[in-house]
Amino acid sequence: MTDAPFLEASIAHRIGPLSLKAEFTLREPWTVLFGPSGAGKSTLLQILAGLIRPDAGVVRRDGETLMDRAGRVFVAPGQRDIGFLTQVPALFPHLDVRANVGFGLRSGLGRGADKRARAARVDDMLKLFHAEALGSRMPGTLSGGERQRVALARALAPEPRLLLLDEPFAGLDISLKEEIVGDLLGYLRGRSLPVLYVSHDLGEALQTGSGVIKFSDGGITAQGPALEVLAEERRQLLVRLGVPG
Amino acid sequence: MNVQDLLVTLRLATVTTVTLMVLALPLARWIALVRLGRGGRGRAGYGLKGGPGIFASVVEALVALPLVLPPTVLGFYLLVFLGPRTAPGRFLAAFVGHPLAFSFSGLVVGSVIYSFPFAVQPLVAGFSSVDTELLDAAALLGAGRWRTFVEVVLPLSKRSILTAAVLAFTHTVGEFGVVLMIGGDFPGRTRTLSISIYDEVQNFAYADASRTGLLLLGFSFTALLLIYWRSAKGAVDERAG
Repeated sequence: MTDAPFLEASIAHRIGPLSLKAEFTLREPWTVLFGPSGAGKSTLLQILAGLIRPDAGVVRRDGETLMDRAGRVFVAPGQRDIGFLTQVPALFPHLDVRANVGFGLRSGLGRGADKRARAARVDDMLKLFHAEALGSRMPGTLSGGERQRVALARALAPEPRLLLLDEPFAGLDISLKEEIVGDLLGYLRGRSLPVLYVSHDLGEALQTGSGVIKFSDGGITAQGPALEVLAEERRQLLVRLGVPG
Repeated sequence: MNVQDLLVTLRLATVTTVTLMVLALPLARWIALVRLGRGGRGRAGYGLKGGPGIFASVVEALVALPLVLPPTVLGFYLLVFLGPRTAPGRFLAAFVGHPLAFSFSGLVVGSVIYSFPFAVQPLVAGFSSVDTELLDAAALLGAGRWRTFVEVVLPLSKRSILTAAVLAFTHTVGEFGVVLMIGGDFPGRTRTLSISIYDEVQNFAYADASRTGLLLLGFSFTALLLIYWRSAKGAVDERAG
């Protein structure tokens, strides 16, 4: 199934005041899930990753069924080949940076990899994200940017086949963010690893988005190329900035 | 007080604490997961909806029962159920080879039940305080429940585990009602220090009672000091980290 989309999802879920209903497919290598805070974007990612079981729905990655409520299929989070990076990186506070990055290599995709291969993989990942000097540091001693570098290295170490980014760079200053995104793009180059990137920042969505899924109040309102889907938002922004559209 | 009573006390507290930790660790983990709404079977447990349900509440109430029940009540029931008057008592007696009532093994059974909440509750508190995002991170990286428990939850609950062990031990050292009811007062077998101080006072041997009392007081204070000092130090370390 080489022509299967990266991801197909059809989800219905109620949680608290939020009623989520979404149906979409990912064919672009980089898609931005754009919408206001509280619209249910994070919940949607958690469902895709397998952290939440929705009331109903189906999720397929590369044609492989990861979840099908009606068919009673539920692949556990660690077996989905999905990397997930959250806004606040949940590094294990009792493990040093190397052990954090290597954690995912002990099971799942890294199964069977011997010790030396794992250590080499950890070295490679730290180098890719310019974190090789942090190897023996504890997470509690890292800065925000360093934490995200390590978290990114940890999420990518087991070679996931889909990467979910939940506003992971929201708390970082622009130059730092661009450095880390640059490292990430460097890693993605030459790899077939589609990314679903959650953002509520219009500038970010227009800048990075090859494809955009517009999301509000628990549902998808539009999907397509960034300039098309976000044309109205862009016009309003320009008006506010005083630039003639 | 004599050395024999001290040895019986230490032996009872040690055996009870080890037994308690073996039983309490998995139970506390289960209660903590149920409270998080993740008590389902195997991989199916992620993000289940709905509350813990009546079964979990019954288990928690049973675990906490020894906190409020008069020890003599517990001791009485154990005496009846472990003695030769009932079928379970006779079965146990046949299994162990001697009646459990008025024996050291009977004391262990009674102490384990009596000190159960002191081991389980700190563990539940410790396990529940581990960030759910860390549990999610472990699951996303392919760790199953067992590996997450051993490599993430346990190391992050070290202080609670120490607290549970120290409380279980000291509480067993200090128990009186259950020991007297189920153990009787047999020197070298079931007479612990808390019983011997009682005997000493009955015999007007106040000097002996005072020595026993001081020993128990000093021991209990030191044990609690260890817990509070460790947790104060831990809190400072965390802030510094």
